[in-house]
Amino acid sequence: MTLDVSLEEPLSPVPVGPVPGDLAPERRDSLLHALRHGRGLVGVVLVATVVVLGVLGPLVAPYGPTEQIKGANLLGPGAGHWLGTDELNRDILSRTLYGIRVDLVVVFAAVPVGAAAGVFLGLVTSWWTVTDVIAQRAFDLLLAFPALILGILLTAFLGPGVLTVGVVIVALEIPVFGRLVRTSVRTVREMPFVEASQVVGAGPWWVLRRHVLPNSLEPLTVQLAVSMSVAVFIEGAMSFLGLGVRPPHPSLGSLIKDGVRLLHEAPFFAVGPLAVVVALVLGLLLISQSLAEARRA
Amino acid sequence: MPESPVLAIEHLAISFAQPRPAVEDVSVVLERGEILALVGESGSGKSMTARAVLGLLPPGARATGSIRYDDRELLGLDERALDQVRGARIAMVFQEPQTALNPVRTIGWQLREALRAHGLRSRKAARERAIELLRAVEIPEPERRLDSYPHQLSGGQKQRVVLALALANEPEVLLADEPTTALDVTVQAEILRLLDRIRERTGTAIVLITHNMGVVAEIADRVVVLQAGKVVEEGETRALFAHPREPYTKTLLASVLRLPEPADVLPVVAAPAAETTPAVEFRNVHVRYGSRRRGRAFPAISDVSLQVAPGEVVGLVGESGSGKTTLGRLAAGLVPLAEGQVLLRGTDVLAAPRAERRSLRRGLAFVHQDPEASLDPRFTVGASIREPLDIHQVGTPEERDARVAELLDAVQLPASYAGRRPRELSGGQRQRVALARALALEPTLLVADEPTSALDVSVQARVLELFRDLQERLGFACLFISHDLAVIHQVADRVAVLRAGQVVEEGPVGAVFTRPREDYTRRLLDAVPVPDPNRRGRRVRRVRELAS
Repeated sequence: MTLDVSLEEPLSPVPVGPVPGDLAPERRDSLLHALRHGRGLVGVVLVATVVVLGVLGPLVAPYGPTEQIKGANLLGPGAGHWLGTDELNRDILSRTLYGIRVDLVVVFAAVPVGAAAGVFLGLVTSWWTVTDVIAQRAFDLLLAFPALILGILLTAFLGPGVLTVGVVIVALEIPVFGRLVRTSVRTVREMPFVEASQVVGAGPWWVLRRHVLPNSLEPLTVQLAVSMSVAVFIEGAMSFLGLGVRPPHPSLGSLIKDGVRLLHEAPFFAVGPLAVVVALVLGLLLISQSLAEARRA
Repeated sequence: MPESPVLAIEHLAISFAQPRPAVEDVSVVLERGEILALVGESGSGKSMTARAVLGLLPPGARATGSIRYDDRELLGLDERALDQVRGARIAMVFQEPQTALNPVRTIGWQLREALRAHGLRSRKAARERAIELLRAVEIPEPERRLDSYPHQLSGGQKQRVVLALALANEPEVLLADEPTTALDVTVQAEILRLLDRIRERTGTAIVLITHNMGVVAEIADRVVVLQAGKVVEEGETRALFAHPREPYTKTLLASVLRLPEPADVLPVVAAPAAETTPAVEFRNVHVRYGSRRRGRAFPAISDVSLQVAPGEVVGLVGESGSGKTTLGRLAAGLVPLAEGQVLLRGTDVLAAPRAERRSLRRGLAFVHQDPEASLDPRFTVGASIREPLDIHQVGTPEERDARVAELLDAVQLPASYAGRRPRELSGGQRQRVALARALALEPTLLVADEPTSALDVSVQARVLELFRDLQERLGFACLFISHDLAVIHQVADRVAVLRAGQVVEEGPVGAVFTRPREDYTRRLLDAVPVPDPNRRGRRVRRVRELAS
């Protein structure tokens, strides 16, 4: 068959816009987009408010965190003390503002440290079968410990304090992130583009650094937000049980604990600290949810 | 026309929230008992058209126009009304038999379910009807097969079961969306003959959606050619193949690769000089999958010896599971060797010291089948092509960038593409980039694993042309793996036919394809659908002779 049509000419017109079946626009953009709209935006605003309050706490707080005010015993919320005072004549608003700082340290320092350690361990161990088995069983062991039992155990050695809370959270996040990264390593290393670079001589380190890590950042971002909200809970729970920040220094958890103890005498006590914890956890969960959704879409 | 058409689609248009509609203007008429082929390349709207008939469009799609079945408008019907048509009057068969069946239920359960959904109450009657259906799709021992799970069946048998499910309620129209694309050629030939017989027996009209002109020539009565959501040409199969009117149809037909006719025997290519060290040599290699200790090791390759001379292209053909991909991956060092030796440029790779192994590896490159996954989505095209250079730290960064531009030029892509991401490229362009990356270190051996099988025919033709051209210019040796004999014929000098992990036949392509020595090779060759409707009868006879 003779032909007057050149094979070089494109058969179908190049489509102008995305056609059905086209890949979604770049994921990174969509993650950012998720944080600027709807649920994600609400989360960002909530978290940002708590962060600003915590950072500016000492400047805004009307009293010192342990300052005792004469004659102000278990006052209800009013003009002088917006959130009332506690049984030791201290201003609850001031204590809450200072307490936020503890949570900020836990959320924005301990969690990233744990995440980084977990990601590193996961990446390094999961490439080789032997180290993978060892590391994953160690992670199993850590995960099998309920957070609070681990907290009590560590407090027995380290004594209560912010540091202990931080260590507990790091210890809890390492297996979580180690697991997650392992899944990515397992999926990405089977991908043809990894094989293509292995064939020309790329070693495990090259593949892990250049291909696996960048391709697992998205699930890690989502997990980071989830872990941060969990960390707020853990700090609260540990301080609530007296394993965290030591009195007289305030933390959100210990404030709630005192509030619950005095629930009958001063029902207003726990409201402020609780509202902050709820805002922080809710905000972080909203962020993680919108990120997760943007990733799936 | 005394009879009204069973299905009439008029001016169908489907659009999403995007500038280009998926289907722009499609009008198709399906007569009772005919096989109509909807042909087109990816994005031509052929699948969307079929899905619209059953109201199976993805969310967010808007369809306008008219789809009439027996004078009943289907477009815009609500779900409940559609359910009376779906499966009962119009049934659909999808491309992938693996995913169309529920893996945790038996075949019998799934058939009974389909029958019950449309009103067959009694368990016993359902069972009998299920056996009858399996018999209709020519599955041996239907009584026993009822208790089988999908994973116990081969791909072809699964597709038969899917067909049985579709036929459960004696539909008048069967929509078959690429029903044989996922299957081996020999199985494809059987399924096509089965479709033809079903049509003869039951008078079911079939809409066959395909990109394969060979399949069309094989069984279709009429052909509708779609391009970018519009009907380009339609006509009776023989007439259309003999005298295509539109340039698009002509190009489509010309892009189809053909096998050599026994008449035009090529002069036998002189065997490469024996003294040269082969680029790769397999010496009695064995590859096993699974643990040997548990005694369940599956031999993927057994006792294969094969040589590829420098600058020679050797095609590996065979059906799925024949071990052709494993052999290619073995050459690339991606699967462990159980026994035997793999020699690269005369050196045993596994016995070589580390440093030498690395330099031997440098002469290797691999092109993967799947254009979706062969490039890291986070890398720009330039970074992907540069990667091998970065790994071996070839030259300065500026020299590497210059080399990237040179390689892009070699695969006929503009240098500006270096900044693009894979998702901005079409499948054909991605495979070009993958080829450029493979050639970055000037390999002596390229292993190409079905590099064009995921591409449209016209794109495939252009990529193969480029490949042939580069191979002649750069002179690398190549192991070219493909299930498509016509592709192998196009690019390879020699061919090795694999079956169940062994080389059945080996020799110059022209000789093997025109005068095969082995029955198996002949069967493979005969099963390839020929894009010539006039030869339909002859081929079927030959296949039958061989089967008996």
